[in-house]
Amino acid sequence: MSSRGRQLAGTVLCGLSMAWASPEVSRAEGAASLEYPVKAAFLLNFAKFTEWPPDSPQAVAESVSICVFGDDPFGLALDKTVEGRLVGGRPIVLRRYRSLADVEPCHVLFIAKPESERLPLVFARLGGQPVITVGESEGFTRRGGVIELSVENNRARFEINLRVAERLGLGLSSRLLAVARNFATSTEGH
Amino acid sequence: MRNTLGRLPFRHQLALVVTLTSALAVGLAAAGTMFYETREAYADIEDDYLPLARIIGSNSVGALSFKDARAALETLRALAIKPHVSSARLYDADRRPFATYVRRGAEPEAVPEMPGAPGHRFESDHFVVFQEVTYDGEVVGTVYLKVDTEGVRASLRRSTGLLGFVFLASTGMALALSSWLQKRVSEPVLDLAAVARSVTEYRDYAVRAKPAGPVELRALTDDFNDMLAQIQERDAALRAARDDLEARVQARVRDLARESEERRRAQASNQLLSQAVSSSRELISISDLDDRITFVNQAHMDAYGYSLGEVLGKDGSLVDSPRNPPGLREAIQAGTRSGGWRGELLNRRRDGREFPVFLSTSVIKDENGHAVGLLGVATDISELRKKDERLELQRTILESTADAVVITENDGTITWVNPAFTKLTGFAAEDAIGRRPSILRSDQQDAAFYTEMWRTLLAGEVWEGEIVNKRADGRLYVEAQTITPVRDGSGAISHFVAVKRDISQRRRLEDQLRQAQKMEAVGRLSGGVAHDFNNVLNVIMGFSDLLLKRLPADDPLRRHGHQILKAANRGAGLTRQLLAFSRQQVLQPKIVDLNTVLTDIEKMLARLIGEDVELVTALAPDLGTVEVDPGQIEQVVMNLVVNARDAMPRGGTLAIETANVELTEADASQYNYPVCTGPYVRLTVTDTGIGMDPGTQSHIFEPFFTTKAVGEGTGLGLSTVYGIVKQSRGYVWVESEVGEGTTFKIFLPRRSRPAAASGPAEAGQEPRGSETVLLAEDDDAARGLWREMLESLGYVVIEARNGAHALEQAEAHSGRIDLLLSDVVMPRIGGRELAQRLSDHRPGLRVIFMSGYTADTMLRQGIAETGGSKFLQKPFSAQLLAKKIRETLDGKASPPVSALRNGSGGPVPDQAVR
Repeated sequence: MSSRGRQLAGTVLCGLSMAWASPEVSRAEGAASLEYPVKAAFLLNFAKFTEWPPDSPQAVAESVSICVFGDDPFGLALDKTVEGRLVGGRPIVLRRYRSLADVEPCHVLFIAKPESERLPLVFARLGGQPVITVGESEGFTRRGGVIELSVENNRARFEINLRVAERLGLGLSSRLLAVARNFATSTEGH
Repeated sequence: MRNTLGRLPFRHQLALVVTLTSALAVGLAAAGTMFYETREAYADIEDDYLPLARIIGSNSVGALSFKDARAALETLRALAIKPHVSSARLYDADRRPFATYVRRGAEPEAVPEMPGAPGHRFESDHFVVFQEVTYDGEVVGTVYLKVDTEGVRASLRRSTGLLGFVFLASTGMALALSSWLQKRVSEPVLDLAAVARSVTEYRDYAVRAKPAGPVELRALTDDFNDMLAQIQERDAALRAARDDLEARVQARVRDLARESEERRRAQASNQLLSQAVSSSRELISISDLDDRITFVNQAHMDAYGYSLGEVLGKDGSLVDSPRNPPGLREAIQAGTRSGGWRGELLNRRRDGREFPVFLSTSVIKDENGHAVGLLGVATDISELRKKDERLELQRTILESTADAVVITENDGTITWVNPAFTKLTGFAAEDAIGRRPSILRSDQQDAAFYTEMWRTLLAGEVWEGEIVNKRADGRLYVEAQTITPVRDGSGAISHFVAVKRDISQRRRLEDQLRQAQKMEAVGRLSGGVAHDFNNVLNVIMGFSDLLLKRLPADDPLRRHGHQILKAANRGAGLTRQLLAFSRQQVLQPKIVDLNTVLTDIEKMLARLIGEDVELVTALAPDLGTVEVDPGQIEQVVMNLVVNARDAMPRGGTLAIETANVELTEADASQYNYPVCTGPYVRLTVTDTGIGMDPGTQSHIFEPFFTTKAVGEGTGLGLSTVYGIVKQSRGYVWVESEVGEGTTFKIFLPRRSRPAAASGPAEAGQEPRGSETVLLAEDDDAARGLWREMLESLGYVVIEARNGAHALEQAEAHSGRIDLLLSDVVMPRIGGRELAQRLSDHRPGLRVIFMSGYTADTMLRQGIAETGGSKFLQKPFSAQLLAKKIRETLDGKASPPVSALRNGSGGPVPDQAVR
């Protein structure tokens, strides 16, 4: 079992035991202990299943950056998830931005829920760069985010705004699209 | 394998090969096909399903990455399109089941919980694939596919079955065809072979092979048959010729055999003869008519040492010894020519050794009677000669042995005696041969004795014993005889051999020895008694003497005294006789002339014999002297005379004779006694009295033996005579004839010295003295007696009880001691030692020893009457004592006693015991 697997297993077991120990624990909380590690894995995978435009700085960069803007809900889970992994042969770098001004065009930018009000600012900051923006807030993709994460039936789900992805020049793998909750041929969002 | 195959019959080989070929071909094809098909089938499966697994994997990347099990399941469901996929599963990155598909209608089965190693394999009825799904350099999961291969396999099986069938069918066909084919060929061939075999085995040329099969074979068969026909013909012809030949050969062989047999017989007999001559151990030589040797056999060559070549042409004289009588060879030659010569002669080997032979010669004649040669046959008789010599020697030995040898037949008839027999028995050989051993029989053995002897002998045992036999002249003798039975070849007794030896002499010696021993024993006994008795008598005599001295001359008691003394004297006389007999009396031998002694006592003798007996004396005028004690001789004569007188109660003649004689060996044997040969004086006392029988004769010298009635004689007379004569180194013999008379012959060794002048007659006067005498005697009575004696003679006596006391006395006595009169045997310090010690202090001391022991003992004790120490034998009379003392005191001084210290080495006295 890979260390990652082990970690995940550990997390799952831990989570499970917690579920057993305190069935009263809200689903939300139990889910929360698993939720973010899974989401962190998603973040990583998004990067894996994406091709950036050849000239773009993301394509050229030596490392793949996964960034978090706002309150980091992942915590160490994100660090653990990306530890030792490569994306397309490139190491992963984690960045956490507290202020908008710091936001750089990463490969994957996770925008924390509390920052959902400032979404347009963030998008503006990114300025149409091919960044996979990921959010948890309601209507993230409607509002122009690329991927929206949600939890349904204890399962982590995500939606993809394909139009946006296309517009940004992100080449999302069909595989990714295949598993997305909805093939967002939707015209929602910008 | 090859061997087994090789041994199969050809037809089987053929079939086998064809079948094998077919099988091999078809088999290979089938196998190849199957192999190919199978490979292809499996490859197809792989080609089909491996990509499929990859596709599924690829399609599931997203689902695996994003944990979208539903999407994964969708993907898997697509497998339904593939009817052979029985189950599939996707495992996530943690190798845990993620999504599973199981074919509807398929049997429920266990899908692995965990993925196995990446790869694919064919299981018994499935094809299983594990494939890792990778994306972006990472394993995101594993695909598991299980494909049902049953269909394929079934198909393959069908193919295999089909091919197998084809294989079997074709092989069977091949077998059948080949069998048929080989049969077509092999049958005719086998048939042909069988025919050939029968021809060779049974020589049956009448058989023919059956043409069959392929043309080639037919042709062969036909030719074969032709061949057989030809052979048959020829065979018949051959047979005929052979039979004919055989018959002729038989005839010829019979003839030849006959001839050969005849020749062989002739040869054999010749050979036998020749071998006989060659192997004969006789020395055979064949010469021509001129005596020249033409042949000698091996034995001849070996015996004489000449090889055939060396003797050829020579005549018989080649081997003649020069020691043969002259003219012998000529005699042989002449004798041979006139028919033959036989005889013994000496031959000589080549190396010079000679040996005796017995030669027989003859003329060899041919079948017409013409002489063709001379034959000589010699036999080496050296062994025979040796045997003869041995026998001769044995005979000589028997003849000359000192023991008498008698050979009798088994019934006792004498067949041979040797000269020693004649010497022993007085029978010459011709007087003994033909008669029986009973000619020697004396009547000393009873019949039982001879019966026992015969019993022993006839039982086959050896008889040994002593027997008294009678010579031819009637004389008896004793012989020791050993008779041995001799057995012949069959074990039966054929003869007896008796070996005899005269043991009369030995017997006599034995008897004499016994006699002498007897006398000796008796003598010792009587001597002991006499000795003790003597001491008693001594005392009686002594005190009687003293008594007579003390009694006045007219005292009537004197008469009693005289009687006592007389009786005591008589007693002393008797004991003296006894002692003399036991040779314990000390003699005082002198050189005397017997005639003188006899003359002196003639008057007394006349008185003794009385008037009825006439005394005749014949004394040799030139009689030699003898060394004897005259008193003893007187006693001897007197005893003999008394006996003679007693033997002639009605009177008769008593003759006394003396003569010089020489005792020789012959005399010795006559008197059956070992004597020292030499010059003797013979004293003979003969009477014409009643005589004695031989039984009495043998006892007469025994003491106390008497033929007289009790009280008439003491029986000591002759034993005394015997003792005295023996002591004088003489011999006494008796001859007597009952009713005729008795002769006693006494032989005394003759001396060369002249007789000593007889000393002055012993006067009745006793010499006296006044010297001092030291008297040592442990017997109180005796000592008292002697003291009185001495004092009555005038001597001064110092008494001592024993040696020690004597020394004390001597010590105490300051005055002179002239004489020591001492008993020899005293406790602790004996006479000798006493004398020694006293002499040391008192030189000039004279010594007289007294003793009841014989001079023999005295000698041993170192005392001898040599000029010095004197000796008195108890008992002695006062007169003798006085005389001796006087003599001693008047004579020379005693030599230093020390000279006598080594007893037995001391000088031997003239007198007494020899």
